[in-house]
Amino acid sequence: MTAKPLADPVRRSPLEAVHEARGARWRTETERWPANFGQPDRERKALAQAAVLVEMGPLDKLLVAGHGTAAVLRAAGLEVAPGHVSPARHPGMPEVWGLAPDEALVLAADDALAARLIGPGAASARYGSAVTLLWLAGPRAPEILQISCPADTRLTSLMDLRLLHGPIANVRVTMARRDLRGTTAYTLAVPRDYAAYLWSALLSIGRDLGLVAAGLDVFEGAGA
Amino acid sequence: MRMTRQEISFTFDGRRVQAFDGDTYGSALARARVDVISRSFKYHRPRGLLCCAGRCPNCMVTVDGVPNVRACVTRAVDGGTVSGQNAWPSVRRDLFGAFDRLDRILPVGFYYKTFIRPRAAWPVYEGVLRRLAGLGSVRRTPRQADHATKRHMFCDVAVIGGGPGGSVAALAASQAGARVVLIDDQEQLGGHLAYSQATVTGDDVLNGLRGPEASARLEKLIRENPLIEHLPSTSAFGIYEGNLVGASRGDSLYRVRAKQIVVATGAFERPLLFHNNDRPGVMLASAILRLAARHDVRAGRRVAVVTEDDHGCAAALELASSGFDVTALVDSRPAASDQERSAAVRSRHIPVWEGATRIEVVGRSRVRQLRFDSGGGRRSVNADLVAMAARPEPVVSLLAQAGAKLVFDGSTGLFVPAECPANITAAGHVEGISDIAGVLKSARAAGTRAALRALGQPVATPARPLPGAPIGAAPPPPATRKAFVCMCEDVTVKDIKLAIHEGFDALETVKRYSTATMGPCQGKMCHSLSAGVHAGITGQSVGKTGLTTARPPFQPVTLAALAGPHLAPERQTALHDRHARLGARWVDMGEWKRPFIYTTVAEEYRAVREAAGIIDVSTLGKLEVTGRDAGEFLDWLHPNRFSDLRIGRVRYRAMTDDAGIVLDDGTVARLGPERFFLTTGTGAFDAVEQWLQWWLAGSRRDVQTINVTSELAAINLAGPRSREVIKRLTGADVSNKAMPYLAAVETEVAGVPAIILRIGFVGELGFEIHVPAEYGAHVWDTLMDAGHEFGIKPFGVETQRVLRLEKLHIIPGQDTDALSNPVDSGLGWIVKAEKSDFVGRAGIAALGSRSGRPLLIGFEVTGGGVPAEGAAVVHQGRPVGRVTSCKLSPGLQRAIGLAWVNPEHATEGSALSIRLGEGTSGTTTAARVHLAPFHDPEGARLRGGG
Amino acid sequence: MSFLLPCPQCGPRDVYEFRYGGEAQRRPAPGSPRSTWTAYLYDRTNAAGVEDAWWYHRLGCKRWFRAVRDTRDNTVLKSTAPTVPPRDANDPPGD
Repeated sequence: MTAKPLADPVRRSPLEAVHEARGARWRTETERWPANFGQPDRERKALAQAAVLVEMGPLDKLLVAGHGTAAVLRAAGLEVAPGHVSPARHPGMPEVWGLAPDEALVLAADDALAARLIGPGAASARYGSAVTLLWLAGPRAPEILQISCPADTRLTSLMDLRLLHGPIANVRVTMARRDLRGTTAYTLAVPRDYAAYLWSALLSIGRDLGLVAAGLDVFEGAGA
Repeated sequence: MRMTRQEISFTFDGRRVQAFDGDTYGSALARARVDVISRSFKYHRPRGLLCCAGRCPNCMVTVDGVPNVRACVTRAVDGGTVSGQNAWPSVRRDLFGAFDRLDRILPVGFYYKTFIRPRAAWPVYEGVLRRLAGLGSVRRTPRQADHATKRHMFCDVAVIGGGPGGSVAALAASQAGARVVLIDDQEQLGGHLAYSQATVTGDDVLNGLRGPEASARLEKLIRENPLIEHLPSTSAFGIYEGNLVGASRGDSLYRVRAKQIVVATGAFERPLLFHNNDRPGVMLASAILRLAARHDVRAGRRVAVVTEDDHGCAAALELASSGFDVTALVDSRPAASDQERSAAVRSRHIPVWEGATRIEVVGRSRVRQLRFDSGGGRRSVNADLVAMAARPEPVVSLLAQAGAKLVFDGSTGLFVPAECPANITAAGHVEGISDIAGVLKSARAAGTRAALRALGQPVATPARPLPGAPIGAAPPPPATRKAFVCMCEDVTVKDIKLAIHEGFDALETVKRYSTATMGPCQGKMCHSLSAGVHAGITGQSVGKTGLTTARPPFQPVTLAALAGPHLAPERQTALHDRHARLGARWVDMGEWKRPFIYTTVAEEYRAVREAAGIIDVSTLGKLEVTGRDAGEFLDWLHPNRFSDLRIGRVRYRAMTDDAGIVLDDGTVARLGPERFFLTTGTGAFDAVEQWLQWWLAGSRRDVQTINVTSELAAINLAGPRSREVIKRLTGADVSNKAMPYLAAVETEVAGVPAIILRIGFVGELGFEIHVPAEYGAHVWDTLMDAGHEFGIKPFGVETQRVLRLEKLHIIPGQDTDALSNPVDSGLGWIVKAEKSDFVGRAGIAALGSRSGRPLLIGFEVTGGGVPAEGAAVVHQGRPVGRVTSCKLSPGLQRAIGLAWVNPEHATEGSALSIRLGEGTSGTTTAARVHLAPFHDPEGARLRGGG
Repeated sequence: MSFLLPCPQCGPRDVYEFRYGGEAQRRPAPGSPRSTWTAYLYDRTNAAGVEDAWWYHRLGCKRWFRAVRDTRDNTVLKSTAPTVPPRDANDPPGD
C-alpha cells in the first residue's frame, strides 16, 4: 500500500481559532497569523486614538541561559544588559532581551547564530513556540496596564527599551516597552499556553478604553 | 451632584416621587416631604435624614433590588424603584413599630438572657428574630457587577480628603514637585466650603472668597494641575501595610501605593443626647445646610438649634443666613463662652436659652416641638426641624487604623492625632484645628513636608503644642429611656448604663455587649458619644476611657470591588482546537484544560489495547538540564542515578525531599554528554523548577535549566499497532532493535524536528513524541491521518487513568500525599542505597526504624461496584486504609485500583472490605489485594517486539 | 499583609508576587544524627524579630533570593541575590 504524501508542516499561532472566529485575513496560508481582521482602517485609527492588541508573527526565538550567557552573546557580536532591550543593530541581526544577568531571549535567531551561541556555562534552546508576543500600543495602552498589572508600569518607571517581569491579568508576563515612532507601545511575552486567555482578558479589560484587536498590517501605520 | 431643571421620577414604596436630575434619592424625598425613610434596627422606630453625608444608617433603602443603599448620597435615577427596609407592610406604617413599647423587655443583650429555654426551640426563636431585625435583604440572584475594575496607582504623595485642607495640601505637594493622587469622597472639592456662607480669611490664594467660590477656585486649580490626579466620589476605606491606600467607587477599586500619605479627612459633627433624638426632622446642622446648598431643598421651615458648645452659635447664624426661621438656640451650658457670637445670634432675634436640661423632642413621625427646662421653667418651642450643632470632631479613623496615637485634648473635648506613623501626616481639620486660616496654613505645610520626604529629603515634623489638661470626669448622660447613642443598633443611654451595671465596664466590652458602634456607621455617629456616656457613668474622664480600636474598611466596600474583574487564567495546549472539534469533554487540571473523554471509555480503551490511540500530553512539564555538572546534579536530586544514563536512553525518575517524601515523578532522557531532557507530571512543573533552582542558587555547580514546557507539544502514541503508524511519519528506523523500549531519539516526525521517547505509561508499545508547539496540530493531524487505516482513536485523561491502573502505575499527588515515602509507595526499587549523599537519603534511611507503616497496594473488587476515590478500607468495622484511585476496567469487567492499607492487610490475595457510596453509612464491597499489574505483568507489550 | 518586598533584580514589589521559601538554614552533613535532621526539617526559629529567609519571585524574574526581615512590622532590612563563589576542585557537591 502507498502511504499518503505528508502535508507540508504548517506553523500555527495559539490564537488561530480565536482569530478565525474574529474574521482574520491570514498573512500566508503556511504561517497563519492575521494581517488584519477585515477593517484595516478601523485598526489604524484605534492605534492612533486609543489602543490596539496585535499578535506578532512567528519568530525563531532562542533562549540562552547560564552564567556564561553574556560571554557567548558578546562572542557573537551581541550585547545586552539585564532589564534592557537591545534593538537589532543591523538588518539581519536579532533584537536581544536581557531577561536576567544569566538569561537572554534572542528574537529571530537562525540556525547559524544558534550554533554560535554555545559556550562554557551557557546553554540555549529553541524558543520559537514557547513564547507568544503580543503588541499592546496606543495612547491608552498605559491605562490598560494600570488596570491589569499591579506593578509600577508608569511611563516614567518603565521607560523605553526596558523590561519588566510581572503579572498581567494574573499571569506572569515579561513586558518590554518598545515605543514605535512616538507611539507608546509594549511587547508582552507570554507563555504560549496562556496566550488565548491573556488575549481575551486584555480585550475585555480594554474594551471600555477603546482597545481593538488588530493584525500585523497595522505596523505600517504606526507613528504615521 | 449638579442640579439641573430636568424632571425625573422614581417610586418609593410604590408611591411616585418627583425629582430633578442631580437630586439624590434623599434630597428628592425631603423635597417631597417624605419624613419617614427607614425603620430602626431593633425597635422599628421611624427614622429620617440625619447626616446627609452617607455616614449614618437612617436613610438606608433598597434601590432596584440592591439593599442598604444610602439615599442621601446616591444619585436619583429616572424610573428607579426604591423601597424601605426592615418594615412591614411599609416604612410609613410598620406593624413592628410596636416593639418600641417593648423596650423594657428588650434591653441590651436581651438575647443572652431570654429565649434560652426550651433549648430545642432556639432555631425557631432565631428564625423569628432574624426576620424581625435587620436591614436590607440580599437577593438570591447575583447582580452583574457594573464595570468592576481595579486600578493600580503609584505616586509620591497620596492625599486622602478633598476638603480645604486636603486640596491645599495636594497643591502644596505638587508645587514641591511631587506627583499626587487626591482621593475625595465628594463629587466636588472644597468639603464644607461648598455650602458654607462664611468668608475665607488668612490665606493667599483663597482670601476674601466666600465658601462656594473658594471651593470652585480649588476645583479649578486642581483640575489644571498636571501633577495631581484627582479621584472624585471615591472613598478611601483603609490604609494598609506598605503605605497602600485602598479606595473604592461603586464596584471599582483603587490600590494606591504612595511614598507619603497625607490624611485630611476633616472633622464631622455628631449627634447630641436627648430624649427622642432620633425622630425624623432631627438632623445635624451641617446636613440641613448641605441639603439646602446642594439640592435647594429646605428640610423644614422652622428650626430649633440644640448645642453644648460654641459651634451652636455659628450654626444658628448660618441657618438664619440660609433663609431658615431659627426659632431657638438651646444651649445646655450654663453660659456661652463666645459672647460676641452669642450677641450676634440675639441680634437676629433668635431666642437663646442657656442651662437647658431635660431636653426632649415631641412628635413621632416628625418633629413638632422641642421642650426643655431653662431659666427656671419648662419651655416649649415650635419647630419642624431640630439642628444638632455640636463641635465637629476630627475624623481620625484612618489615622488610628494606620497606627497613629490619639490624645484627648481637654480644652476642646476632642480626640486628636498626637503621633503619626512614619510616612503618614495629618493635615487640616483632622488635627483638631477649627479656624479655616489655621487649617489652610497647617495643610500647606503638611503637603510640602510630605512632598519633600517623598522626593528623598529628610524633613523634621514640627513639634506640636501639647493639648490642654484633660478636664475632669465627663458629665453624667441624660437619664431618659430614649436618648439614642447608637442609631444603627438602637442602643440607648439606658442600655449602656445597664451593660456597665452588669459588669461590662471596660469600653471594649461595653461595645461588644451592647453592639454600640458595631453597625453600618461603624462608629462615625456614635464613637465619641459612647465613650462619653461610658466615661460619664463610670465617673472617669473621656481621655482615660479612650476609643475602641479602629479597623478597615472605613466605609463599606462591595465584594465585587475587592474581587475585581474575573480573571482566572487558563492554559490551553497547542492541540486545544483539535480536541474541541472532536467534541471532547473538558476537565480542569490546575489551570490546564485537558480532554477528559471523546466518546466512551470502552471504545477508547479498546483502541489503545488492540490497535493504536493518541493522547495529548503537552501539559507535561519539560525541562532542559545542561552543563558540566548536570548528571551529578540529577544524581543529587533523585534516589537513583542519571550520570550513568547512556546518550539516547530515557529512565524513570521519582524525586524525594530531604524528609524522604515523594515530590513528583517523570522521566529523564539523555540527549547529549551534557544535555538531559527532564519531564514532570502535569501541574508539578512549577514546584520542580523552583526546587531545582533553589538547589542551584549560590551553588558552584555548572548547570543550566531551561523551561521548554510551552515550547514543545507532546503526543503519546500507544497500542500494538503504534509502530506501524509512526513508521509512516518518519524516516528514522523505528524497529525494536534501533529504537528499543526506553530509547530517546532526536529525529524528524512529519517533517518537523522531534524527540521520541519510547516509554509507556499505559502499558502498551508506545512513542511519546515531542515537537515544537507551533507544529503540534500538524503532527496530530498527520498521526490521525496515517493511523486511520489501523483504527487509531484519540483517547482522553479518563481512559488514560484506567489504562495505567491496569499496570498499577502510580501518580504522585493522586496516589501519594505529603506523608508518602518511595519505599512504601512501591518505588523501593528506585532507591540506590549505595549512592553517596542525595536529597532524601537520611529520611529514607530513617524509615527502617518505623514499623507498622501503611503500604500502597493494588486491589481488584470482587463484590461488584466501583468504590470512590478516598473510600475507606475497613476491617471489622474499623478503617484500616484508604482508596486513592479506582476505576472500572472494561477489559477485566471489574473495578481495580490503588489503596493505602495497614501492613497486615497488604499481602497478595488478602481480603479487603471497601466502603461504597458517600459518608460512613452504607454498604461495603469485597475486594482482594493484587500486587502485580493486571495487564501484561511481564511487560512484553511495553517492550514491543517485532 | 501588603508590604513591599524588594527583589534584588526587579525592585520593590507586592509581597503576593513572591513565594516564601523558609528560613535560611545549614543542611546537616551526611551521617548526622536523626535529631539534627528532625530539627532541620521540622523546627523553625519563628522569631518575633529579624529573620533571614528564602523568597522566590514567582510572578516576576523567577529567581531565588534571601531577605532579612523584621517579622513584627515586615520591614525588609536587606535582600540579596545568591552569589556563586568561584569553583574549587576539592569542594564536595551539594554546596
